[in-house]
Amino acid sequence: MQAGTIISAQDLDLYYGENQALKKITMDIPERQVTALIGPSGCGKSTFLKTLNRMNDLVPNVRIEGTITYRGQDIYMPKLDVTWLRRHVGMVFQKPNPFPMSIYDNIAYGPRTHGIRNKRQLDEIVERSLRGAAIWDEVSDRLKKPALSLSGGQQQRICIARALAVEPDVLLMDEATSALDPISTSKIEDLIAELKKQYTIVIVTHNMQQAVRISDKCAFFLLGQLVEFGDTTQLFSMPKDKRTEEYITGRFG
Amino acid sequence: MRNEFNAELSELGTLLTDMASVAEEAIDLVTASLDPAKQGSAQEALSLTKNMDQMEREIENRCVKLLLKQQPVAHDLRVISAAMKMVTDLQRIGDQCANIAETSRFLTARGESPKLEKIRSMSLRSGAMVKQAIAAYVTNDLEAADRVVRLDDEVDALFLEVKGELVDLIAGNRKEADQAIDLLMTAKYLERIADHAVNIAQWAIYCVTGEIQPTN
Repeated sequence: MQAGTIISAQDLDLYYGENQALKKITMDIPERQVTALIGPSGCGKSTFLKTLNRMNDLVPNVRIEGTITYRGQDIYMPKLDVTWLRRHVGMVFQKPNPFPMSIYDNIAYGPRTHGIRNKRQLDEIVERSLRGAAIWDEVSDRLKKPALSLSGGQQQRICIARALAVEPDVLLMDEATSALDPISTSKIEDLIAELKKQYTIVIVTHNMQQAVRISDKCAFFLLGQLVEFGDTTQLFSMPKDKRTEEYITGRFG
Repeated sequence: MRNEFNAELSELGTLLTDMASVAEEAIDLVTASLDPAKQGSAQEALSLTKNMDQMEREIENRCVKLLLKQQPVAHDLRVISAAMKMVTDLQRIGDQCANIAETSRFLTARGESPKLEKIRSMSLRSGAMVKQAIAAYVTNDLEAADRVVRLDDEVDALFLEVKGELVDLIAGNRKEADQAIDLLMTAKYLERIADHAVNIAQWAIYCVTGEIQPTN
């Protein structure tokens, strides 16, 4: 494992029933950097992202071989507390999915689940999380309004704030800007650049220019395999593998 | 896939090849114009360098448009960014030809020049270097690009020889001293043209390897 690695996958195989979706993935995700996962639809990048906080546990007939460690801890060991894992490795999805409740309650939901009841403490967490997600100034005067009344871009930042409220270590983002307009997208991209000072971020994106803009490391997946993983600038200016070159230049297939 | 983009990239290569051919012709013409009997070719060369200025604009415009439309990465990105750098070198070669054309007017006004032989060799070599460097870029030929870089040593050596001969001329014969200075300038312009050809060859190498060569 490389120094500065926060999550490490070793020889990871994943099967959906008979179908092998990930093949021998070995990859070290560096701490406090943005790692982008790219590749065509069905290549396994989202599946891989979901293995990092065990979201695939919810899929029937899924079988995993190999190991993933988070800070040295095997996250697939039998007695692991999955709630503990997901507190540390949070996730933001493609479609903004705030709970049908107030902005405040959305953010306070996680901390309350973890036993925090003190009003002043919750107020602090809500403000800090909303500021962290660069949305405080837009919603501070209407925290009691339903989160679903906000615009898509604002809703997505509420979801990021909700993820930040439990003070995670790693944030997984599955195409978190693909449903947003360019202005909301660039707000979230700026936010990611800010968040990586404190958090490790792993994103799945179909927008290759976005991967170039915001990621430090980039991984190219194809047919369940990790074809190439390296510095984003290197990968997009001088890819080592011919298949990477073909995919990123749009000459794939 | 990407048929239109591929066609546009190959057109870019054709435009650069055309511009390199014009550059080579301009180099031939200005060198010929050092002979009083062929002074007219200086004017022809000057009109070619004006064409080169237009070609430069055209190529730059296409590169900017391709960057905007295609947001190229990997080899595509290297091909287009190299084109933008190379076109500047080609245009500078045109400037050097214009300088030689200017110098040749003064030179031929004083009759036949001595010591033209090695200057002609320099001219032939640097013209060929320009053309070969662009050809190496278009065909992604690393070896051909390396050859151009190495050819520069020959041009540099010829320049030193020319310089030596002209220094002797100045020391021995005051009558030809004026011409010797103009010839020395001409040789220096040709030596600079070869340097630009080396730059172009290094961008051709960059297209293949992704590595920017150290400047000499």
